[in-house]
Amino acid sequence: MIKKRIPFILVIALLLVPLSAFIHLSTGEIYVSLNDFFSAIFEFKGNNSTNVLIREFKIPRILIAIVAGGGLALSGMLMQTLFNNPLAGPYVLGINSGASLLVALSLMSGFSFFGSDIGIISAALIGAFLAGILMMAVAQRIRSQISLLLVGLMFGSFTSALVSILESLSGEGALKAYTLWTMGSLLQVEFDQLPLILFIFICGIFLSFILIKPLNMLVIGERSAGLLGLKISQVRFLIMGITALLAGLITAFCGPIAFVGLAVPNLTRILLRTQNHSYLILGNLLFGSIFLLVCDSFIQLFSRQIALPINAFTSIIGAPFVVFILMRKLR
Amino acid sequence: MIRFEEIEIGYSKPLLFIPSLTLDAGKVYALVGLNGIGKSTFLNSITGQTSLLSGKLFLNQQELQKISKVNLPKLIAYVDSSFAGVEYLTVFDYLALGRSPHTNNMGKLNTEDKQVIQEVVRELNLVHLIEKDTSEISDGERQLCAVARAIIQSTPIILLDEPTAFLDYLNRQKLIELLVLIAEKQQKTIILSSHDIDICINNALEFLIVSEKKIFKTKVSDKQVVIREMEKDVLKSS
Amino acid sequence: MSATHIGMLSVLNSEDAICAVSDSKFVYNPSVKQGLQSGAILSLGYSQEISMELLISSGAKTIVHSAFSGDFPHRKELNKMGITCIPNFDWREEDPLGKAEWLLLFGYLTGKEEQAKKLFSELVISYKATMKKVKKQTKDQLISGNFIRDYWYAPAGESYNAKLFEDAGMNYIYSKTKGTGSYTVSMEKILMDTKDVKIWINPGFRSRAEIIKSNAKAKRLNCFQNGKIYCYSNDLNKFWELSAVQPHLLLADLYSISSIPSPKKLHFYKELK
Repeated sequence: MIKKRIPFILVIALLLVPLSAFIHLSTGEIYVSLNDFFSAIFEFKGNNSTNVLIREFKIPRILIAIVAGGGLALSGMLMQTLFNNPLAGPYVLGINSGASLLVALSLMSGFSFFGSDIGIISAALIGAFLAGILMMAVAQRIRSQISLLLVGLMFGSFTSALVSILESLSGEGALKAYTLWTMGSLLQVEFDQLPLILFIFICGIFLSFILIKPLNMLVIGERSAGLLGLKISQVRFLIMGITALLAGLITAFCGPIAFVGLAVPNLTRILLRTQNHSYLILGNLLFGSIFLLVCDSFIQLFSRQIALPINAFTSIIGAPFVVFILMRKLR
Repeated sequence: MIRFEEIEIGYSKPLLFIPSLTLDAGKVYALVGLNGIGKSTFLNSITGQTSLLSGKLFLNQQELQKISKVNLPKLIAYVDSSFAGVEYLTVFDYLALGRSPHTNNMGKLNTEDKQVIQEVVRELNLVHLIEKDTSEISDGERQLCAVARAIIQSTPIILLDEPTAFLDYLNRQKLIELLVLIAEKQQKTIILSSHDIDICINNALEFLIVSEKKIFKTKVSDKQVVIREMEKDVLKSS
Repeated sequence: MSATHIGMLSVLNSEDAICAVSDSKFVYNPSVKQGLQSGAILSLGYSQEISMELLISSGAKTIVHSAFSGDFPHRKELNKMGITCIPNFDWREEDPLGKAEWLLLFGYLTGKEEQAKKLFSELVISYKATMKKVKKQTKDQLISGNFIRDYWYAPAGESYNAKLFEDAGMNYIYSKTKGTGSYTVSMEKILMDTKDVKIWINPGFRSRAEIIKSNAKAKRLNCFQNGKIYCYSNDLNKFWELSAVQPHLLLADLYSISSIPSPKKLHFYKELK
């Protein structure tokens, strides 16, 4: 009975992904038929506006919503398992802040290399990884789950203070570029960048699947897992690396997108009612993609009335959900 | 079987000295002593988590320092004083973790693994719990599951750190009886630390008394003897 | 003291009435720049964070400020010290000539009322003369504004800029929209709306490369690929200072852009390469 329930939910989620992609396609301000869609893919003409619209605007937006949603949810799940804390996530634990700080540094440094695509991506990846290492060191000394989150928050405030100092030192152009970057966006990705993004994303998924056994062991705590033969420091380093890869990639291309990495892993556990990570990884990828596609569909739907940044919208939905989880835990 | 040879245990300063001691297979030993005297440190030094200051420790003829981190969990299973349970972790998934020292890198259970789990589940009467959430069963049931996981690990040695601390009288009695049975039947060496001297005497366990910075093995049937030994520490310090 | 205020004083040749400015980095006027260098004119810091102490020590008797956020800070205390604060609402004007009319205020303040009136009526005549040259609206569609992250912000149909476009006979695609501020357009819509646009004005950058760097999607727009792009980037600070008081020149620029294929002599504007 239970063994069939989880695959059933996952299959439904798998069907919901193309459905929400279709909803996303049809909530766009400019209507395109499926016919237009396929002709833009198979018979692309650079001078046809509808073709350009589909290939350069709609397709990258849908794909990056899937990558960002699934990737953030997956990296959130990895951190929650690693820290044994359902309230962990790339955003709360300052992984995004680390990425933001280094992106700000590189944007404002004035060196053109650091302002280029590759410069920003590597800055975000390194920043995410360093922040992760720092939080791991702190977690070694702090037992309480809530205290760790407070430290993450302090780290966030600290980096944003550093960023403000950088802002006041930097020129207007760089400042504007950074401020815009913090709003989060699913629209800045070019069609040509998609192969690279998808490649890194798939690497992250693949590496996560390799870690299924250690992840399942970590559920009962680091100490017990260690007594069962888990090489803790090695596994910690790997998990942190994958998280930084995924969260850093997404932060670099889309800016910070809050709460997906925190809310979706919890939602996935509640829906699947399991701690088996082979299911949780799939579930997070699927639910994360659906969540962000649906959020972005709403933004498209109301784009006439209000110019909402994606980061604001995910926070509006995600923050109350996290409060709900907190209340459930502290009950 | 565990053999100690002239061992000093502790952190920077030696906490305990064990001259020469052999713990046999097929028996359950009760580790007793006052709080803070070094019972947990003793157990940790057997699992290799606290390194020895001097001397040699043998697990089934193999020297502890020479056993790899991967092979150690095939020799020793460890049970904490309490397992709080994890939301959405089913009893089955929890028990299956006991097989992780034996499974491949992906953690997939083979027929043998499944058989071992099934046998233990049947033997310990856990069939009705198997699909339940570990956070939703009773403390007694959870502690039983923790022991079951250690048995499923199929090791010649099982260490338990105050396994009866959070259990009521009936569950304590049941757990100790079970351990004695398993030790005899599967020829395992089992050590459990406890403050519950009555139950240990009732089940005729051999005692490992920690006192005056030493550990010694003794078979007693009088509670007062054990207490007198333990009290030496108190008298000395006062 | 905002940039437009310096411009208005400069056409009255009254730069010497200035004793302190804010945002000194953006000053274009040569004699004010010189004054800043020699120390005759004090630099008070930037926009919201100007130094009160320097302001008082400059000996200013009158403060003209753009009242974006209501009263000038510490107005009452300054009044007690005999310093008058005059809010200037020129930035709210939707009509280019209305904006230029604020020149009269500076004429009154510097005692050059007559000169200011004369200058203003001259520029009105010049502005109207250019308007008369416009026979009918040009065919080429025009877009203005640029992306800010995910949305395109264009001047709304009743704004100052839209009025200029209309007076210059330009075929601005959002001329029918409501509002005096900006009109927000999604990325998808701007792509389709600018399908046939030939002229893109005021992207806010000095080169095509800068536009793409700020938002890569801009290169997908037809007006970027096949159209002409103009910006007031000939000298940015000159534009900020003088465009308000010289709307006739601004209009002349726009008229040239829309009626001549490759206009050479432009006052404020420049074609982006």
